[in-house]
Amino acid sequence: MTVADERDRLLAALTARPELDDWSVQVITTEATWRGDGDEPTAGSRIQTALWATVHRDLPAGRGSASVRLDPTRDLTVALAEATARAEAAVGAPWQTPPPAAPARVELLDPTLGAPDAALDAIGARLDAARGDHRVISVETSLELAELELYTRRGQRARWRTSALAVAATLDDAGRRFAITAAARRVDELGLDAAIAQAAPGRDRPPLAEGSYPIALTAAALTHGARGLLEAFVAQADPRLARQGLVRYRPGQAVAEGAHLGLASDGTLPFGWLSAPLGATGEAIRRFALVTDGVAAGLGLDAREAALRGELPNGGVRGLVVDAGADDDAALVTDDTLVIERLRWLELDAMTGWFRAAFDRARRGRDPQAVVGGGVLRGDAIALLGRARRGRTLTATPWYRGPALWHLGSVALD
Amino acid sequence: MLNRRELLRAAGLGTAALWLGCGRGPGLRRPEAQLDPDAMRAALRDAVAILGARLAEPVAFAIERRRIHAVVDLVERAVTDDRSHLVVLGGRDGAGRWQERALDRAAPALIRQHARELAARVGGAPPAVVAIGAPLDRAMKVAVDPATLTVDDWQMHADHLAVRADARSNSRIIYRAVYAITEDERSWVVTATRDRSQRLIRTRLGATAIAWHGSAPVAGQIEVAGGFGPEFARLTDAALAGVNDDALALTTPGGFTAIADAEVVLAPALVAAIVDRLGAIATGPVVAVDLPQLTTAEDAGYASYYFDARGDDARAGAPRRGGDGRLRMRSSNLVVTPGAEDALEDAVVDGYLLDGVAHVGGSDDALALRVGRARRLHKGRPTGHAWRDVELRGRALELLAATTGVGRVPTTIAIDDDGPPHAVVTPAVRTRAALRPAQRRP
Repeated sequence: MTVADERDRLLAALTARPELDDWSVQVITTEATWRGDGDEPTAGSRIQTALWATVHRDLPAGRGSASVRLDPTRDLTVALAEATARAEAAVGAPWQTPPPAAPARVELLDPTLGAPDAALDAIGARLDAARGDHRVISVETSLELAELELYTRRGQRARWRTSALAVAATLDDAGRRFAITAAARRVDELGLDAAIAQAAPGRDRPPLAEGSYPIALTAAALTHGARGLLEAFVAQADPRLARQGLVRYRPGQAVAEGAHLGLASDGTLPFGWLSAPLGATGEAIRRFALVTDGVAAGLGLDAREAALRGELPNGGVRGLVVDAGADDDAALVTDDTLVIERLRWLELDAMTGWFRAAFDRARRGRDPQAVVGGGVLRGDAIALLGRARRGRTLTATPWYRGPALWHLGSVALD
Repeated sequence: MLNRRELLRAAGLGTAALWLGCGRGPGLRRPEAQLDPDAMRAALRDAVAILGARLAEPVAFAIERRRIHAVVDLVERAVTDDRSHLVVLGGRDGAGRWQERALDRAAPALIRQHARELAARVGGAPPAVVAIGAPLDRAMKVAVDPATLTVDDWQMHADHLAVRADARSNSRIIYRAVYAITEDERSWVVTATRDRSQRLIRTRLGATAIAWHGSAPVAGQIEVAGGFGPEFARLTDAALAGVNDDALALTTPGGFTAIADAEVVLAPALVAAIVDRLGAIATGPVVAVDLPQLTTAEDAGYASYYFDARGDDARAGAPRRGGDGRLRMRSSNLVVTPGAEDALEDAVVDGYLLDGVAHVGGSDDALALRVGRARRLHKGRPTGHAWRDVELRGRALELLAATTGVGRVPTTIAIDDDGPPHAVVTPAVRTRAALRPAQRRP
């Protein structure tokens, strides 16, 4: 049985169950191709298919929902009966699915990609060009092409394709090995030059003495491969946590004293890692403000949360867009500022904003040769980012569009 | 009102959300029909014959993993029964490169189709001599076979466990959960010369209790893991009472003062976090070896197997590393050789007993390990002082090299939430480490 056959059977089975008040189906077919070069050359492909159904039951006490993943070994009738029973056992507040929304127009498939093998060749060539004097010990490259389909009881039909490329390599820097990873939706955004420059170990330097230091983070350090420290704001905008009073964020109130941050979620950024035309159950994905001039603004709303609040869904928090700052990047960095270009690791308690983050080295002031050792930063990400002075120069990653440099002020270091 | 996920996180049990299934609705599922072993075996043999025409070292591997998960807590009383499949077809092409195709569907026709496609796309090697031997089936022996339990049986056992866990509790316990997770795994591997299948079973039984202390929740937890079936009695009444005691234990007011070089006893969970970072090692008195083979002892290891995905016998030793130093295959049971001491605390003049892992920070050899609880020891006895959110920092190798004592009794710590089965089997160790306040709150 083909995936299309399974999908059609599922849609027919859902349509034939009148007790279901609403449902949606998502079909994801993924074909990944990878190649590894090192001591044992490998190559391969992986094919995966996922069929998900989300069902809703409207009962006098409210609406119950359940999701189920189908595969050919599962009896469809039994699986849907169980999902329905689970929905009936999980009734919460009543809500109605918002009206169907037009899919957002967003590019997610790199149009320059050819056949998978050619795409992997292209990634390999980029790495070769970026590595400079560093010898490549091993490298694994992969390309994942996915097709997503969405169907709802109200007649929504949508289909889109995505590409995702990834590189994981171990390189040699004068006898010292270091690893890099990079992922993006298109080859041009892998950023291998920067990844290698930031990860190359260089010479050993003693760690910095404990104390407080003026700290500036580049966008790469701030986002740490995804949303990094900004993830604190993502949790703050979770409507379920906000409703229970579990986060500091209160729409209409400043996120921190003296904050002047402007931050928005945009799930329609071209080639954004979290961008999509529609949410998993067909809800709209829209750009919305999270923080405006330091004041908490919107929450990330899926279909249920939006309905409960009488608002329109926005698809939740996805790619992050930050306003440009007022300062030249050069003006942000004084002689005693430590500029950190890469975090070694990050631990963030997203609900409170507390974080600790390690770095191996930093540049002191504007002199690229004035490199000092590392340490562990600690502090309140929400307050530090809310009050941070931001540079005027903008940069982009698959997760982030915003200033290339952030000056956090004085940060505790040990 | 805190929800369960937030409560667990606040109590330093971030990973608990995984085994408690936070976010799932209540459910009761019946076991699904399993794969037909004969049809699977025939398809894999056909696939090897097809691959062998154009690839060297042809191999066809299939795995069916059934995962039964029973949980009882304040929010949920449920049993789920999930089944997943993976088929991997592979061989070496004419250029010597290992070529694979993986699919998440185990239909025999699909396996043959993909074998033909792979051979057509990447062949080029001289035909392999395919002379598949007689089938060899191996199965782990367990006292309780999960296949014999119905969903109702699972629910009854989980309910009984919850009752036992509650028996020596009091009203300060605001949250409790008990859970059982059993994986029943069948795999088949066919090569040019072998046709093997194995059935492996592993179980994790656990309990968590949380009590409120001032403005913060404090947790106690226990988990018993190993290569056994759903034997609920392995979680003893005494162990369950210990969970309550840990949750109710008071902490010392005021912050923890940093100590540059403290004598510490690391509970098995902390040793496991450190050893897991390093892999197989021998440093000072700490020797950790990968032991994948099934033992003849009462219990097989949690992540033991008879043979790997290429049909090779399980062998003890160091996990295979590539030229880049990275592990080529994750270790199975990383076993730390036990020592001779029954009570490591006895030899501590002035130090700390560290237990519970709240967060493992750092990377590579550099550790920044946030500890669940640090208890003060003086002349081998606990003083009653205890702190939460203490951080242990240092180089993992140096920490283990400084070991002055290794306990006699090992504990299995299952570490497979994000991947294939994997465990560290280790006793507690006594060593020296730098401790500092974690400064949990801004």
